[in-house]
Amino acid sequence: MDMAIGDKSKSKTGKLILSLGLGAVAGFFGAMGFIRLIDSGALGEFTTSQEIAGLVGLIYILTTLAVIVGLISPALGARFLNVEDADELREQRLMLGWSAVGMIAMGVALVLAAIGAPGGPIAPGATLVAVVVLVAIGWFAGLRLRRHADELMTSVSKEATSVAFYLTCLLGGGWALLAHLEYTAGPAPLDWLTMFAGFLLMACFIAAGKRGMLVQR
Amino acid sequence: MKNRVKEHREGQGWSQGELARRLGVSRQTINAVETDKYDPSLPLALRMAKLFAVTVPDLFIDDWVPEAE
Repeated sequence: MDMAIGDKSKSKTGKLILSLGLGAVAGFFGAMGFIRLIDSGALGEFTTSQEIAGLVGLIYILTTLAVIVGLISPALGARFLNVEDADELREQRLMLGWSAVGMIAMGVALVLAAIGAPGGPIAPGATLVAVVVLVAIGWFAGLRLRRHADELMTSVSKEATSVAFYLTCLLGGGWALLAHLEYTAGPAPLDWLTMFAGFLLMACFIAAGKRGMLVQR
Repeated sequence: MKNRVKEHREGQGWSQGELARRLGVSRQTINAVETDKYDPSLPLALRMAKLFAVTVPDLFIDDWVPEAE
């Protein structure tokens, strides 16, 4: 029995290392590729706000790609996603699928918003239309997701939304107050969009962590 | 809230996945309930009790004692 516990613990550690390793490699190459693209000048002049918005959007896209790999090949996904086995991914296929649609829409919308500033490679009008369509897709995916989510997921989702609101009030509001008092430069409009998306992602991890969902299984 | 869900589930010889399937929830929900990270809704608690043929207070342990009048 001790051997079985030891084997399970080893397998959990191996999976944790694989997950962290893959995340780090994908994040590193994704971020490097994006920064190189900015440095090449192909996207026009980029401000710090645009870079951060693009990188947050990229985190959404890369995280979703990991889920998509798991949906396409549950056996492969079970090796690095935090699930018990491949069957768990199959059981949650619809919920994860709609969640992936919503997340990728949010990530692409943020990247487009970052690129689509006046003087950029995409005209502001086209960016606006694309972002509105993506937000509508994300909203529709959210509605479909609710049909397939069970009560734990609904609870995590509500708590994440609430935590994200408080984070935005505290950090975004604090920044705005400091800027109003002329202690620092104020957040740019794009910074607010980045904060909405970034704090929501952060809040999802906080809410999931509180329910023990980040513990390796 | 402390509970005896794991004890009853193992008593039936069911995996978390099997119990989740019978209750129509995800395995993560069963895992979160068993590890005291999530208190289920009343309908789910009732369904669990029905499935194990016990009462809700047999399944979920509440230490609260009403104040004496």
